Amino acid sequence: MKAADEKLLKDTICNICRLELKKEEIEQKLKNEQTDLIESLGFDSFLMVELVVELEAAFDMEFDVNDMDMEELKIYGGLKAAVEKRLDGDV
Amino acid sequence: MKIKNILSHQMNNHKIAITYQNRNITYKELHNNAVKNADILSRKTSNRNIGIFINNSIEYAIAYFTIAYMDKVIIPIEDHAKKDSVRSILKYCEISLVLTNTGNDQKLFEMLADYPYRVDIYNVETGQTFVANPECAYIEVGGEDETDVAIMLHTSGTTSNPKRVMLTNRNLLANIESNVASLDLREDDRCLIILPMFFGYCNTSQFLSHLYVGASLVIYDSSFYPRKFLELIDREKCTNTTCVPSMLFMVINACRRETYDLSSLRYLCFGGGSMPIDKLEKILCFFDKTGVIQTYGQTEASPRVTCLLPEDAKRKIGSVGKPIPGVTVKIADKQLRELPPGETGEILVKGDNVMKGYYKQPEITAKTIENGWLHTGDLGRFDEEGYLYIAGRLKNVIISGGLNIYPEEIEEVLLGHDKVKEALVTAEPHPILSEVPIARVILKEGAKADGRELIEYCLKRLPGNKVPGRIVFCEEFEKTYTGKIKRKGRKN
Repeated sequence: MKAADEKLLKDTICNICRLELKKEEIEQKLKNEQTDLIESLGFDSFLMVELVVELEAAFDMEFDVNDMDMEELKIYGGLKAAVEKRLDGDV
Repeated sequence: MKIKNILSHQMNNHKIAITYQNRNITYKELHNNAVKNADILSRKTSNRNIGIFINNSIEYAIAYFTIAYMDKVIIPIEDHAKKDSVRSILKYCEISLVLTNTGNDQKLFEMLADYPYRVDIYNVETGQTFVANPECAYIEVGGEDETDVAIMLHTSGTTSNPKRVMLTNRNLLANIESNVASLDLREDDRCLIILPMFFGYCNTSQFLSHLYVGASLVIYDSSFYPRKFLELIDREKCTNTTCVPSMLFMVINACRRETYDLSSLRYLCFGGGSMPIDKLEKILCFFDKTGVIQTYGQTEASPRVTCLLPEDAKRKIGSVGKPIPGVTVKIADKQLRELPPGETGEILVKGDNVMKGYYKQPEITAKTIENGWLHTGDLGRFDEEGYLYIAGRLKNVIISGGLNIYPEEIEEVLLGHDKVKEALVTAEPHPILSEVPIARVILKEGAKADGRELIEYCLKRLPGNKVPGRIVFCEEFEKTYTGKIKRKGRKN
């Protein structure tokens, strides 16, 4: 994933995360692509949805609702791969 | 009549009862599965209370009626609950048998390593039984024999001191009949279930009410997503559904109405949290061809108490409507005197829908139900036409994303941290979730900690939605004369 795109992805995660953690602390967690956004950043199912909606707006793209697996998307690496897939047009 | 009769009366009905992930089950098949499992399990030892640890699915319904057919008590356990919470429920409710499905069986088995009692885990899909801790004895039953209780639903309290609401067959059937009457539920209804089935709101108002009239249920098969929600209504031609406000906020923010055919949607109910009027107006505009119904209730009332019908939605915007048939509501002062329209006081509820009580908590039950009147802990007022308006909350609960969060549960976790002396959790507004918890903390003398440390501590011990968003360090809390931290009731 291009550096600019990953920065936008991380910034969006930071904006939605409701826990009062420093941006550097969140980014430190996201260095591990197995980071679970629910377990490690306090997301719940609604905030995950909000995140996906915000990512669609930020990247001007749409996820295929029938292909969305929140179990995969809640893991940072899975989310990153899903965004990358759509940016590359591999739907 | 008992809730098991809802299904047994339809044992020869070939109509599809439930659709889930492209699978269907008829009433007859659902009945036969439940009978088969009940027959197998009745030959095993089990205590009166039986757990269900299953996500929303056909299997949840099979497990539910299996227990009902055994004339035992259903104890739904949230399938995303953490290990400590699950073990606490099993212990408190004296559960020796849990019904699960594939995936959840292994998860539960692992959670029960070192649990000091034997637990049988039965997979309703495969018929397989795992036994956790076979070398131990089953937990003994300590509570009273509540033979008329059908289900116990979780409400407030801490892990160490939970409150389980006992609902009898009569409570549930009373609320089902009230729902059916007030909303004109019909056999040709097709209800979309997106709320957790272990939720009191879904249990009675959707799941049981629709099976009662012989309607069909469509169970949403993944995490809520606004576009998928509308797509499913369109594709499955759902006639009604029930949501919490957060879901509807997301729908109006993220979806284009004209993309979907929602003409089948006869009505849309919502409840479980406050609904700002400006957002409600947008929702009414978005679902302009659908009857939007705001409801009010609580688990202790089985749960529905009032509803605002579509014809009044705009005229009485801001109200939660009138009591449903069979339910009486009054507004009372602290001396329990009824107050006239326009005056604010506590909302009290009476009817066959009012719970039997809290399991093993007779003293708290006695304070909560007085002369048949349920103290809701909510503040409200009636207008001159008898429409109820919620004015605030006396009770200590945070409603986040439609789910109740009890501050004591979070405080208990924080007090387990070796640097924390006192903790007080309160609500803060959130644009999507309505409210989120934050914590005020007093550290022990000489201790040093930062917010991140305590947030990380909570992340390991609490589900995401219960982790305080921020930690505020304080020097002292206002206390009552008995030394308890003063909590203030909240006004809207």
